[in-house]
Amino acid sequence: MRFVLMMVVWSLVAAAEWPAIDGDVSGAVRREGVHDGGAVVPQVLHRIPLGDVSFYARGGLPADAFVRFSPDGRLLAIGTLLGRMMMVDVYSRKTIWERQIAEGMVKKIDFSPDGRTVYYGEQSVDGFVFAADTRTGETRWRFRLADDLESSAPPAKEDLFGVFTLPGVYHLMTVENGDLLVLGIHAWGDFSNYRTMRRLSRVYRLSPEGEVRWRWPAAGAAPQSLVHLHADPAGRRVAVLAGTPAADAHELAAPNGSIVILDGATGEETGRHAFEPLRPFFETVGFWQSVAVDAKGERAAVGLHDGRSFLLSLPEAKVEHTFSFGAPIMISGVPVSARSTYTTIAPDGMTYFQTAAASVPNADSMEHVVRPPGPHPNANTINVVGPDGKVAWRFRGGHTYQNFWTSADGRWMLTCAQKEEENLGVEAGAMLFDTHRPGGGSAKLVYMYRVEGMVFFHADLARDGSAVAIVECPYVDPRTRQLTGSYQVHVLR
Amino acid sequence: MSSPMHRMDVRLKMTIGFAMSMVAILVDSLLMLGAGAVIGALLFAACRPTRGQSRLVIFSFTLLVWGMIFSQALFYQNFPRHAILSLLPPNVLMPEGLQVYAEGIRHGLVQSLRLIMLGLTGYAICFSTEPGHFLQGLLAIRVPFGLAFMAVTAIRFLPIFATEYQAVRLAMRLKGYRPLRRGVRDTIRTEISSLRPVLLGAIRRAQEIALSIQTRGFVLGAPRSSLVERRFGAGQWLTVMMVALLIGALLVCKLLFLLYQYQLFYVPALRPLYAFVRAWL
Repeated sequence: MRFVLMMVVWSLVAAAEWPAIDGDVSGAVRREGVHDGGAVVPQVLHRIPLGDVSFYARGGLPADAFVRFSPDGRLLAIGTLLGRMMMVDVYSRKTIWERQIAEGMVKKIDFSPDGRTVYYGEQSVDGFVFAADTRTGETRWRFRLADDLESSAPPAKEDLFGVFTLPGVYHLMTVENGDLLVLGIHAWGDFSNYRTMRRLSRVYRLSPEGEVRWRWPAAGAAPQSLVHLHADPAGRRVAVLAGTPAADAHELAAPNGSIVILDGATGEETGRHAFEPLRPFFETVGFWQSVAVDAKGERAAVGLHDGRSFLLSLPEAKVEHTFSFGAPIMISGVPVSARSTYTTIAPDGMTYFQTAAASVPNADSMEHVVRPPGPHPNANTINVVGPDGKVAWRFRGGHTYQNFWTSADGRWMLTCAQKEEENLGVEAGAMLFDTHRPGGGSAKLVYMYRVEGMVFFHADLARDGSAVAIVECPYVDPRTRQLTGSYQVHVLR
Repeated sequence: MSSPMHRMDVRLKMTIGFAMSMVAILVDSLLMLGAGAVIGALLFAACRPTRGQSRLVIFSFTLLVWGMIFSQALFYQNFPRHAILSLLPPNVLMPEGLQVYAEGIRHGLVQSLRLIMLGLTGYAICFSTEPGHFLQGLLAIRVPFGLAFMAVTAIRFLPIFATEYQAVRLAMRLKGYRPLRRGVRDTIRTEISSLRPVLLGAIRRAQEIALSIQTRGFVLGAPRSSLVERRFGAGQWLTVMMVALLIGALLVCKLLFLLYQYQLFYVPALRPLYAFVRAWL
């Protein structure tokens, strides 16, 4: 019943008219009812500068920012590496409010379902989650992760990566009743030797008033990295990826390389599945931010570092379908694989998987071979799987894709794309797909919007699909040694 | 000579000198050190230096700044760093080649500004203050007379030493001495020997001064009077208080930041202050 109600709300949101664009608008700009056949060009609504990050860019740190549209798509919240938190009106191009997070970076943002509260999490000595009024920015409450996850010494002035040793909000999502799911991680120590690092992680469900409904693990923070989490929109089931243990870990919350399923209402574990390492190529199982739960909370999609992807039944905690998209193959006697990186399950039931560039398993430990002798045939590919577990379409355009964002009706899909070639430099931007168009991946591609700098894995798509926000960050072009691109957000139709 | 710096009370000058040295210790940011160097330059200009003094200062600081920036630009070892100019490509002897690093230039500039700031303030005070005034100033701030007297006497000795050392060098040159002509060892030995007559002269002069002040009835603990009574006006008191307040605030800010950095004392509400210190100080 709740699901039907949710779909009705979504369809109403999708049916609402897209906001009008002021000023000079191209005739080929994407419109609400546009279908295949006509040329569509991206219309830039706004470019929002985010500050000077040349120090980070020159040091090789992509200065990322997090962007999130409000549920009605009219506002855009932006949080930066420099600690700026901004609320921007997408169509009037005005900054409604701005806050500076001192001594920390804004890590994640989400809005309450009614759009009146914006939640943002930081990475800092405290690791606060803030709840603020969307219109004024006034802080309503804050929740401190460092009380559970401990804290670390603040980084030195010239320490580029020091902020990442502090406790931070690594995932934050609101669910339909206004509750907030938070994943806090604190990993500190010698990053060059990850086996010696200390780690603490914990999952929280907070009420809209900032009270803790439950914590997982209940007994205390897990002495390991809980890599990522995702839940269905109603928050009935929460899927958590359990990763690398801390150097001093005695008892783990879940084995490294497993998915844990939590009851969203109580935070109690209802099931878990431990993935088997793909021996002899991989001794352990690794994840990136590669877990997604479908709209009903019945199914989860997971991608592994070894290139395999899975669809699991959450009530049974059992694998339903296995896909060996980027799994190792032998090329000239050398194993070559492509990591399965990001995944999402769109509201229409389509599951999206990505594979990264080809690599040699355990290349770091090899003496001679560090580069794959040839490309993996499924590297840098978007694979789309239907509700029946069969591949519906694929897309590959020579870029590496990072992360997915889909509209509430599942029609529009956005991904960040980047290609680096020794002689041509970096080509980066975002690709928008109209997944309801007939044909294969190329037929569904609406446009690629290019930026001068590079993109990472942060962008967003308005729930109704009417606007796109992409984060551009500068980088040092190895050919010219010059800083290329700007630290800014592009907002497009 | 009458310049604003000459007219300034020596106690105020000493306060400014102390404040500038505190700033040089407490501040690391390029902008603040630049501001300090500008203040140093203004103080130096306010003492209306002679052409010779200006030449000396400009020459010495040009050499200092150039040397410091250039050496840091070439041999900067911290990370991140990025080369803006390659003087030598990587080779067998120098695996990284010889590069000019932007961060090295910045680091050299920070160190140079620190020295410029202190140097210009010091020159401004020295060029505009008689040693006797120093003594009055030290006594006014309750420095024990014996200590103040020794310090001022030592300052008076400096130009005499310089003159004597010049005379020794001239004599050595007239006798045909040229550095490094007879090898490094001989040069080092001769250079050390050249200090002997200067030291002996200093001892002789100290004995003469001691005898001289004793014959004039000098008693260390006795009460003494002065022909010139220097009054410290309300405006000067206000300036001293403001400078003290500023330096005190700077010290507290920096101290709180260090306590935070070493995880000894931390208050979340002070995060804007920590950020301010990190960015501006």
